[in-house]
Amino acid sequence: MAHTIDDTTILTRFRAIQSRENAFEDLINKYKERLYYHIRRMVIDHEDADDLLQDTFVKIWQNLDKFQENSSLFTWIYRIATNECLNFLRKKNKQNTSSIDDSLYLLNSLEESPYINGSELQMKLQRAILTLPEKQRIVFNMKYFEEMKYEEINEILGTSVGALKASYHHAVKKIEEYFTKD
Amino acid sequence: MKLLPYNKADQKAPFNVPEGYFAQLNDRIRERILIEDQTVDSTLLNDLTQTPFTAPDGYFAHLHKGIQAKVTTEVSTVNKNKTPILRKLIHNSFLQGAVAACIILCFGFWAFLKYRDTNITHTNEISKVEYPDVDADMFDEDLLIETYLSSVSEEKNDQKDKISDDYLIENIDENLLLNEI
Repeated sequence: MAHTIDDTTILTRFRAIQSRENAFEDLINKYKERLYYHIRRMVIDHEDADDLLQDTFVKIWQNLDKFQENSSLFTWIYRIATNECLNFLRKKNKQNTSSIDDSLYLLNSLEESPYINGSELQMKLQRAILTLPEKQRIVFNMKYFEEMKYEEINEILGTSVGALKASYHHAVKKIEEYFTKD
Repeated sequence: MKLLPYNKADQKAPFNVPEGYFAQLNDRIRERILIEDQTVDSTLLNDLTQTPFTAPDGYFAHLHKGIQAKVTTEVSTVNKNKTPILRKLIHNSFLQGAVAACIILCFGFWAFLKYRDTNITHTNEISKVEYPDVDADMFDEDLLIETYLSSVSEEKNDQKDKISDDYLIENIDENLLLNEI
């Protein structure tokens, strides 16, 4: 199975020209679903997520041979995907007149996207998450849904572990309040 | 209300994807890479750089037959289209008259040229027979006229001389002539 291939093997094979293409295929197979849902939680809409996922893999292809292995391949890939999402959301934010509009855009996507199918509780949790500031939202998603370690999130976002813990703590509190109020 | 730990079974909820999305994702990413990065070494994406177009089985084996059939059809269509036009023109009375006039004119002109050429040739042939070293075409017309006129005046002078000689012989006074001598 392609997704059981470890990152070191993928990198070694990618650096050899004759096996580069197959290595990239393995990399896509290994990360596509995880990356997709990581992106999807950030931008909500499937079409946006699809575009950003493809952009992410294009950038990975273009830059993987320059990867220095100062961090793990997994966090490096996630950093690219997260930056793509943040750039996308900032562009959307610039197009809109206020940050309220930006939240509304995501909320509308959540309500109107054809590829949403969850329980009322799950939908409520997503609505609660969308009330969070951008950074808290990302940290919460990575920690709660993807169960990443703070050290990994630190590598991806470049934020200190302490700040991440605080962000997550505040995010959880706000969500609990959201559920308590409603 | 306390936020419960995340339930792994609901990892993807509430987000869904279109059917077969992940199965097709690899190809779509590869297509994007090829479009985005034109500088990618073609050897790295061998299967993508291959042309996606294929021909039906036996297409090239039967291609020439198809072309021949098409060419034959085209030719017969052209011929079919040509025949009625030609017939129409043939049955046009004005055109018939014009063609006849042209033929008569051409024939007349040809006959005239033929007749003229025959005379000219005849004259030249005579002159060549009688005077093989002289080409009649080389004479200057003015020179010929001058020569003719001078020959006519010489004849007249000869006649004058003859007339005066006859007059003297018939009317001479012999006694007077003897006295003069």
